[in-house]
Parts: sequence; C-alpha cells; structure tokens
Amino acid sequence: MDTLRAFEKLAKQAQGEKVPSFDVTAKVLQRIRFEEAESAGIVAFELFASISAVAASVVGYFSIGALRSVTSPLMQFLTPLQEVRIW
Amino acid sequence: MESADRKDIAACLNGDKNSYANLVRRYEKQITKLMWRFSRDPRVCEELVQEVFVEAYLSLSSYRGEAPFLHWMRRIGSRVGYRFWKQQAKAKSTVPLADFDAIETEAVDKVDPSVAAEILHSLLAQLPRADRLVLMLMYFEKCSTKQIAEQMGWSRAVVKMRAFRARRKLKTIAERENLWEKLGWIH
Repeated sequence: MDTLRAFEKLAKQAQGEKVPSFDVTAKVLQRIRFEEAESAGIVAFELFASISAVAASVVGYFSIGALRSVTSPLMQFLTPLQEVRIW
Repeated sequence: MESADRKDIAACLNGDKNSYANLVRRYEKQITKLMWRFSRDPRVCEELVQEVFVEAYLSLSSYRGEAPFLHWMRRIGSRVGYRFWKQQAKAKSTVPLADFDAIETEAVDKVDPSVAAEILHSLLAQLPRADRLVLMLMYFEKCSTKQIAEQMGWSRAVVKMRAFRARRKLKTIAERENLWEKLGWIH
C-alpha cells in the first residue's frame, strides 16, 4: 500500500476517536477576571509612575535653575574672608 | 447560530461576561477536539482549551465578523497549540511505535480509532513542529493549504513546501518502523 494512502486511511479511522469533554466555562471566566484585574493594577502603577516622572522633571528643572544662580557655595563662604585686611 | 454569536459578541464587548459564557459553551467541544490534536494528555488539553478561550476574549474586539466565529477561534487554537509544541522538549511523551505490535492481527478497517489516533500522534511527533502542524491540520482538521496559510500567517507556498517535506519524512519513518506491515496493511 502506498504510504500516503495508508496514512490517509489511518487518519480517517482516527477521526472516529472519542475525544474527552470538558466544561471550562467557569475556569475561563475566572481567568478572564484575573487577567482584567491584573491589567487594571498595571495601568494604575503606570499612571503613578508617569505622574512621578512629571513631578521629578518639574523639580529637576527648577533645581537646575536655582543651582546655576549659585556660583560656588564654597566661594561665597571664602569671599568675605578675602576682603578682610589682615594687616 | 451566527446571529446568536453576533449578539453574544456584541453583549460581551459591552461588558457582559455571561454572554461570553454562552460562546464558550457553544464551541468548547469543537475547540477541545482541535486541542486534543496538540496534546493527548487530558489535563494539558483542558488547559489549552481554556487558554484558547481566554485569548479569544482578550482579542475579541479584533474579530471583524468576515468569517464564522468558529473559524476565528480555530485560528487562535492552532496558534496556541503551535506555541505549546514550541514550549515542549523535542523528545516528549510519544508512544514508541513498537508498542503497536498488538494490532498486527486486527483487520484493516477494525483498528480502534483511538489506537489509530495514537499511532498518528506518535508518527507526527517525530516531525519538526511546523511540518507536524501542517499535516495535523490537513489530515485531522481537513484544512486546505489556503486555510492553513491563513490560520498561521504563512504563505501558501511555505505550507505546500512543508506538507511535501513532511509527507516525505513520514514515509521514511513508516518504512523504517515497518508500520504498515505491523498494521497488516501490506500483504
């Protein structure tokens, strides 16, 4: 017998196999609820992370501006001493 | 049936999960039959069936209604099953072909369907997974090369090439194992 014909014959017989039956409805709905709860948690976290990043950017922007206006904290301490006559 | 599907899908997209339960109950038998081709372990098969329905729910908004809902589900099922094979080790729980010596005396048409399915499963498991999938869909699910290509996102030429290659390999395996003689199909 030709191999492919034999294989087709076997496949035809295998079609009559009884397949187990399951009732997955409850488990599927449970998994869906879990997936949705997880994704809601992730969205909340991402929102918090975004707001934090924006706040950090604003603080950083003003901090850099303030830092630029201070030439050198150490010099501000030393400059008055330089003007003092020591003799 | 299709209008019932559309009604349930519309309700589901509006947030009514109980409508999705209707869809699950309506198609779990057909999806189980498909996923049984990917794993003959009832526990694993049940997990795969669940995974198919969960994935279908999460991508329900992408269902355009151009083909019957079952076709769309079967496409998801094939991809879930293929992904499952990818996750399995190469030498998985296949039944050695020598164990089928017991069927030597059976008449050609009286090989038990579950035994026939087990033999096929063992034969196909020795092929690369892409080739295995093509033959599985062709012989068990009666899919054309066009349908297989659509389900898996492959070109039709690739499907035909895989089918050709798989059949050639299968012939080599069957001849090496003297399978058809064992089945009494060669005189």
